Amino acid sequence: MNRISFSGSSEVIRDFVDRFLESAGTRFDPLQETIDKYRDTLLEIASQKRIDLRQLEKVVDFLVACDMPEDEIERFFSSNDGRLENLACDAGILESYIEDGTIENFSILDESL
Amino acid sequence: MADQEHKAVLDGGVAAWNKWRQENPGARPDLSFSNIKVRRLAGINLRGADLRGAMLPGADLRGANLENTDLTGADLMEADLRNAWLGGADLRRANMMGADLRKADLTGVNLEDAILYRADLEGSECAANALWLQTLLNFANGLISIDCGEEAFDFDDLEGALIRSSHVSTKTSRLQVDLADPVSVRASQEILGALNRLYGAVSDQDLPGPIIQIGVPDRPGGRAGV
Repeated sequence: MNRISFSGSSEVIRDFVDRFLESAGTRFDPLQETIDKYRDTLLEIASQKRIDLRQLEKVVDFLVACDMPEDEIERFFSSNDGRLENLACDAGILESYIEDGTIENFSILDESL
Repeated sequence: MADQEHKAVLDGGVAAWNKWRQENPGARPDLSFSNIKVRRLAGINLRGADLRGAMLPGADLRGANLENTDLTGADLMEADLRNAWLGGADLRRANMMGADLRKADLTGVNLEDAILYRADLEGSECAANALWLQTLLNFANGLISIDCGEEAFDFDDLEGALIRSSHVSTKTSRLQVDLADPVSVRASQEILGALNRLYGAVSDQDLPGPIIQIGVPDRPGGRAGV
């Protein structure tokens, strides 16, 4: 078996797994806050730039879940550096590798001080 | 740049080098940014040396004394570092791809941005601790000031500082993503890149030294998905 592993805040790891690993092949329901604040913007971006709305929602929902300040999230939308699109693409890559079996499994190990 | 006298001594082999170190205890060897052609370096005393950017791919460094050695950006690809003493070494941005670090002493090493792809860390428990601590410090960056050189590191202070952040706490987890065996280089690179960028979106930091293991035994535990 081959493995990639890294450590991080338990909350962030959990939020990350929920959105980018466990959601593969299942319905993804963003947080209500994400829908209320960003759904319209994301619909517009998805339409204009032909990006999968589902992946965009996952990325922004992750930022919201991690309590990123609203102005920082909005910088993702306003900048033309392609970062948001690239992150959505990355989310799609992970999902595709789960669906084709390249990512066989994932797990969270608790670490303590 | 490297001191040519020091390079010449090293070209004489480990025995000559270690003898020179004994006779010159106050000297700080400078082998920075040099292509070290001697590869049989088992048991060498490079304690405290300046090896920044040094080229040591495939070197036999078994049991070498590399305590407090500055190996920033050094090329240690596929080096044999079994049982080496690396306590306090600076390994930032060092390339240790495929290096054998089994039972190496990695206490207090700085592995920030080090490449550990295919490195074998079996038995070097301190490696995980150092990586984990670095993770915490990266999260804490900007929130608190920590003197990493302090011997007596006070985790209570760190905890107290960290929990003031809205989404960062001292409770940490390790995410393990298991890939098919075999897996293509392209797929593993794409997955690592995606993990890195997505995770980095909320931390403004790249993953601090993710560990990539090839052919690891399956171990129970954790919370599994898929």
